[in-house]
Amino acid sequence: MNTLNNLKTDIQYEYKVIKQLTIMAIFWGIIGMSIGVFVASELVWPDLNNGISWLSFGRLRPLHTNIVIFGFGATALMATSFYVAQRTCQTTLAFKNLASFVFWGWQFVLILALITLPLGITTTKEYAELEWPIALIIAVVWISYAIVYFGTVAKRTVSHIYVANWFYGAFIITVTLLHVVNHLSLPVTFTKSYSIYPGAVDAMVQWWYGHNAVGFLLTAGFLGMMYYFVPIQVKRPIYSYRLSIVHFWALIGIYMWAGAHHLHYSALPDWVQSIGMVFSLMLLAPSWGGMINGIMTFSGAWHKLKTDPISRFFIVCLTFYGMSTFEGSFMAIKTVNSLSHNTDWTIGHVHSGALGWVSMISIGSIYVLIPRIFDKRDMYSIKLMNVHFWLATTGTLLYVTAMWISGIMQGLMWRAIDDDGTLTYAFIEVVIASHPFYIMRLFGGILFLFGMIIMAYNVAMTIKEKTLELSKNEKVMV
Amino acid sequence: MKHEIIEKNLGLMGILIFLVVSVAGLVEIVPLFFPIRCS
Repeated sequence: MNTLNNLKTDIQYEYKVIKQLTIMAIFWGIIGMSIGVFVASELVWPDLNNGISWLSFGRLRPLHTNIVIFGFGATALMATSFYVAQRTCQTTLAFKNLASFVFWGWQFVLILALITLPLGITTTKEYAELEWPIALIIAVVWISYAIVYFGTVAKRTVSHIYVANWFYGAFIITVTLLHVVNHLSLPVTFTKSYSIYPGAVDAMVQWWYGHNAVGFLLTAGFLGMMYYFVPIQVKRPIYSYRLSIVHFWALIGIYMWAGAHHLHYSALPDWVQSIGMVFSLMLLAPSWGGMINGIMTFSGAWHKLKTDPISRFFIVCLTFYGMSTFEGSFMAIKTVNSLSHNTDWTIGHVHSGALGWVSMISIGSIYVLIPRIFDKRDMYSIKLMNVHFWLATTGTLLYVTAMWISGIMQGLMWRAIDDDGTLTYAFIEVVIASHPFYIMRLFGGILFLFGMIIMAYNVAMTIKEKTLELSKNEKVMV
Repeated sequence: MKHEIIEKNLGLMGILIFLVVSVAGLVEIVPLFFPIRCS
């Protein structure tokens, strides 16, 4: 708290690139979730693509994941990390032109994804679908991002590096490592390359990447967000410094081992599968360390939940974080995985993390960020933030429960065997039984998307509204 | 051992993070390049 009292007020923070990134994060969130709603509709009405291959589920589903993860998630991480680094390090952004390049370069990558994936140009590796020329651009932009971020932290005017920056830093370093190693491939044509790794090795490299470029990005990076925006919003210090140290090192160390749980009962050697399972179980401890540290930061500020929708977003996202990390560890157990693998349970798990944790922490943080970077007193409408909160929460719950029910049902129906040893159900019977839950999931997704559109309106009005503007004297206080 | 030393040194922290996140890949992936022949 001591450092907070001695805040310097004469620093000219660089907000332009943060404004750009924040607005584009909301934009890509809406685009990515709209594609999500469309592919969910395709599962309800299978002929929806009308024979057009560009709109087929197999091509649009990776586009959905790419846009929400790298468009919405990573852009929000870039925006908040640039803000947090400047504020906690009490310095301006390093290499402003390079930061601008990071913004435009990243938008270029996302537009290329929007074009190539519907055309069917893909490496076929999950979350690493973008072909080699785009992968190269990603590497250049990402390393530039690292230079700007670490350059800013390096020229800090305070002696300590604040905990949020440990998480952002680890996320940036690790994603660089994962992206480079997993994308090593031999280009055959301009739009097609093949991985240099053979068979099961390729599978292991892919899930070492896949689990961490996504699981780690969506956890470590967003914990960085949590460690800044939760204490700022509830105006309490982080609950435990010691816990943050222990769970930081444990989390980044253990996370990287867990990828093998994506390959249970596969050609991957059994010992690797077992290591993947055991480390996934151990991962529960540091994950809950983060959740506990976040939730307990509300100590003495619980009353905020009565009136402040942003605090509500934060407490719900931390609850979902705890829930989905427990579920993830559980699903990594081999016997549980034999039931859950290839079912909708996995989709439910992912979305309890992606909608419940990642989206809600980003939404809450953006609501904190917008007035601050645009020099406004507050958001335009607290009421609309509340509407957004309830839409997002009910949408997520509907989505996740629908997938839990259909997932476990699918697993049980697929393995049901009659007395004579034959399968009880034909595959189509399982599909028909899942149909009502696909409708329920679509409805949940629409609610969540609708909330995002309300957010975009609220943000636009906040930027436009003149009466919310801060006077010169007030600006110094922020 | 004081965590303060790492917290005040960006280079040291970066190197330690890199080492900690590298272990898993070295243990789980590198041995796969040397399979035990079963036939």
